[in-house]
Amino acid sequence: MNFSLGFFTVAVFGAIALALIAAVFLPVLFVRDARKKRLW
Amino acid sequence: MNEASALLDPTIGWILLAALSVIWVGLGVYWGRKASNLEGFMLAGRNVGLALGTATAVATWITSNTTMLAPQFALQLGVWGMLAYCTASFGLFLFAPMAERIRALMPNGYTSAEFVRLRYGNFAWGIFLVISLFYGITWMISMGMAGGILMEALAGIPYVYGMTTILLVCVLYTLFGGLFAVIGTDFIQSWIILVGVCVVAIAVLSTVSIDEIYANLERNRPALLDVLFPAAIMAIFNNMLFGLGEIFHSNVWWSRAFAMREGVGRKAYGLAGLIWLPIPIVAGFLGLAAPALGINIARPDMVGPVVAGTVLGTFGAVLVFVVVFASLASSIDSLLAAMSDLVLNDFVKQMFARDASDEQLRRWGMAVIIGIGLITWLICVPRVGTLASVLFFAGPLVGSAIWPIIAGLYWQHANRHGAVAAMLLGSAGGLITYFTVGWYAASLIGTAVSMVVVVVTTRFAPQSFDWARLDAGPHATTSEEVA
Repeated sequence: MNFSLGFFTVAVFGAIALALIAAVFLPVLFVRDARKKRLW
Repeated sequence: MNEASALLDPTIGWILLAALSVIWVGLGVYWGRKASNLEGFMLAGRNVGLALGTATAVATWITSNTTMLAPQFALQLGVWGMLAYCTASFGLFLFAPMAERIRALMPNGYTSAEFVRLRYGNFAWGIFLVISLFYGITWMISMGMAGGILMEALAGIPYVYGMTTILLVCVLYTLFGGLFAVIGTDFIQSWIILVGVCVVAIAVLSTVSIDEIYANLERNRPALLDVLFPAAIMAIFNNMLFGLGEIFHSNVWWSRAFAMREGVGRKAYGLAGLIWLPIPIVAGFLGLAAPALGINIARPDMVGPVVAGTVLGTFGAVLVFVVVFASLASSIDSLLAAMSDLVLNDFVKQMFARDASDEQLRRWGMAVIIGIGLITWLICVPRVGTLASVLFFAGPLVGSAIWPIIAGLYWQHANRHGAVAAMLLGSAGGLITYFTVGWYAASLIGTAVSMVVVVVTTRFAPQSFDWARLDAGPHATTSEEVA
């Protein structure tokens, strides 16, 4: 029994989407902490 | 494409290596100015916020293995290999509530070994220190060797020069900036890695469709799509438990729990797990895409860079070089800082420098960082290939520490002799399994034996513990000294 094309597609595209969101989210979080002077 | 030759021109490789070295050391010096006292140097002032706390956990957990081994894992173990690798993120998720508890129980704590000493006594502390330092140094050696090997494979930079440079750069900026420098550079490194793997994956998908990749696998390598691939399913448990053991016991993660501001640890580790989770899948996907791209894989460990070089040319090779450098540096600097804290706080301070001033201890700390760097370098120079595999021995050892740590943090009646027996019997059982059955079952057995011992001894021989003793300072008496 094989993993389906649908599962494979969702896993790959889901992971890329999550990583892209994280790449945007981290700098946003950084700026928010910096504004509140809560980086360190 | 000849994948045996370097992907990058050596001149470009040297320029990149020099530029990255100058940037990282410069940032270390810049952030190092904040480390005005010992607490700043060791724990970044115990006030790290959510953004930097999250990023440092992500970057540290992304080693060169995550970006380089995940494609190889997927190529050899298929879709399960890709998914198995991402289960290592469970360690970050499960450590999130523990980070908060650690911070609450030990607001003035420094290391994981200090917790074991105060919770279970000196004998358990000794065993734990051996496991922790063995694991730390083997991880450092595997990263140092990986650095040299990858720099050589990617850009033709001779092994010794590449390995020496990356170790030296990490030692220098950790030396100047302590945990401030480590956490600051980790933020940049985690972002570079996230963007880098996404760019390469999107470039792959614009070259060949996901349908074609799937069809190619179905036609030529159907085992890689098999839901019931036994070796891959076993790898899931081993990877997950190795990850749990590593994160639960290692001072790399405890020092960050101590360094984060109150209320940040749980959120930071939870978010880090979520951010880390897709990385092995995205990187692993590159391995599965290789056959559809017509790449003939002679070296599975180089499949990720070869795919990047094939779809993006020189730019892809440069990107991979930067991502690999960032992955290596983010782990080596964290190990240097955490191991030096362990040696300084739990060995030097206990044995030789009980009454030393902060300034004297900081100088000791710097000497320890240089010492660890030097030992790692000396072991890495001969490039003994089998040394890298020593890291796998550590799997059952760290697996055996999972239950003593959990019970010690949450169960007031955990038995201290049980914790000692759990680490010893778990390690022994795991190592026997490693040699008689295989690596894939070693962590599982080590953890299972340890769990049984901890649960049985706590159930049938409970010992009461006063949680307040964990916040009694570095020279506090242990539970056995009180008893």
